Amino acid sequence: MSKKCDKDIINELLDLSRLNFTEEELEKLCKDIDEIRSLLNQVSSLSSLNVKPLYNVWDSELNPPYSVNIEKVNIYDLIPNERVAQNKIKIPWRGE
Amino acid sequence: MKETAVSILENIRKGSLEMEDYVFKKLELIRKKDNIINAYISIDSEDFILDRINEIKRNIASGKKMKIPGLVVSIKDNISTNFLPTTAGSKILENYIPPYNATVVEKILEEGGIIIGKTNLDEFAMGSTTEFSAYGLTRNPWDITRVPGGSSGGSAASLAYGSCDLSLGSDTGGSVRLPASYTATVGLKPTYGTVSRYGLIPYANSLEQISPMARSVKDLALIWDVIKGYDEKDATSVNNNYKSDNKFKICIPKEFIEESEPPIKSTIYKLLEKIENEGVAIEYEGKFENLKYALPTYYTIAFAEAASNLARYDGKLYPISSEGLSYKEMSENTRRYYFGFEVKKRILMGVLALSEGFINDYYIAATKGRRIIRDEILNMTKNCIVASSVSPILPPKIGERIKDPLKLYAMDIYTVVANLAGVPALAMPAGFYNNLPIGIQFMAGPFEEEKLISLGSLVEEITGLYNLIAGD
Repeated sequence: MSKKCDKDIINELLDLSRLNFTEEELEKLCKDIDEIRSLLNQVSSLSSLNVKPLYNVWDSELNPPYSVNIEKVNIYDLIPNERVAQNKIKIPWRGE
Repeated sequence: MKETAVSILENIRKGSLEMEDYVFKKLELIRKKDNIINAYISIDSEDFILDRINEIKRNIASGKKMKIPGLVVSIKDNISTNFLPTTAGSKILENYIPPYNATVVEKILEEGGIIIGKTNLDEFAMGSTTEFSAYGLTRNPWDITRVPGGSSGGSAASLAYGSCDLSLGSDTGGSVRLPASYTATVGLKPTYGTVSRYGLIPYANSLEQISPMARSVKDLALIWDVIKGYDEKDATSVNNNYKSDNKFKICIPKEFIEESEPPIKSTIYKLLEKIENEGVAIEYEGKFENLKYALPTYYTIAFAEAASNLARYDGKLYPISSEGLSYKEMSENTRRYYFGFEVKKRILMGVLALSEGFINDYYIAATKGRRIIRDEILNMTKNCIVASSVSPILPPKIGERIKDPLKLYAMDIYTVVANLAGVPALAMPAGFYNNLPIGIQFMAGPFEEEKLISLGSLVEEITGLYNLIAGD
């Protein structure tokens, strides 16, 4: 995506997010997106950092209180075995 | 100085204050002032309130022990109530009445609180000024040409003009602390997981907490005691009996104060000097290396989670719906006409951050940033309470910040860190400049809310700035 507002990408994002904007809104949106991306781009340098992503503050490394995660559910337990075996279920990427 | 919620409670318990008189005076005040301030989206009917008062009286007569009988509470309109609409400040939830109460609402009702109404907010809590509500902006009672902060600006304003004793907001990146700072009230963002989020309309689940507000730290302790605790209905709820000690040292990473406007800096440094004179050790040489990553990390994660959470508003699950020839068209039309511009923009940015080709550079990078920020804060708060500005600027004029997204987001620079790290943070009055409130923030380690409340009580004794009502 170019630094400037790329209409093709915007249209793709609109489609993915099931959103629509008026022409006037689209103009403002383009300007705002360029500015916001300049902010978000500042995290990009962290992508090569050699640390694990942190999705929730109660990860195991914090040594959370004894009872946190007691109710943790293994999603595979909820899915019939044959569907897992046949690769019909794709567990989202966030598992480490 | 007016009576505090603590003293009102004493008078109600002694029988020297008539509950009906007290609550109906609050209603009268709302009728008089709220057409200008616009702190509330909906208010209970007199009949409903009267029924509630009678119920509380019956409970008292039967010997039931309650923690806040007769105290008037306002609730942010993204917290579900089955007796008042819950709009989250959005047209897409107009007139939506949830089929259940949030756990915190049940707890307040159980303990005798009188929920007087639902307060205004930025749509789906996305904002720092309470100007993005579909139900009109909220004005700051201290200066009606200025914003009260956001997104819990309605809750803060409802306290600041005296229409209630206690309030609930929600804090995703500073949404009770910024309004507390701008309205001379107090807001506590609790440790992640200590207050149930069941019934909170989600914006960014991994960051947000339902958060108590009041006009003094002692009053805040009352409502904190009611709402905290494990809830099996919230998978992220923490069952914890941790008690913090009340020994504290304060440290000040310069980055957390130095970039603030001069009146804010000087007010905070003067207050810290007074706190030091009371015997509290203060270390001025602290450093917070990763502050520069805080805003981009926070906003990337918040946008991504918002995009996911708000996908549910498709015209099928909730009452508001537009017409369309197909599901896609119907869904697009509903979202197009009933979401505000800021919400649509954040969803779009979230979808971008999660899209193939961008996810590593945005969302995953931000979750790594979150880890280094979290770890740095945990290390720091092991040894001390971190003091900082709440906001780098004084309460802005209406319209001043919302035109430029980066200026708007920059207001949260000192507050987002506590949400990224999951630690508790307290915002409270530090002083005034040209009649505009200035707040100070204290951030502690996980589960150290009691420590923050102790320090906050000491600070309000030093400043005398508690239970302030605008216009008095």
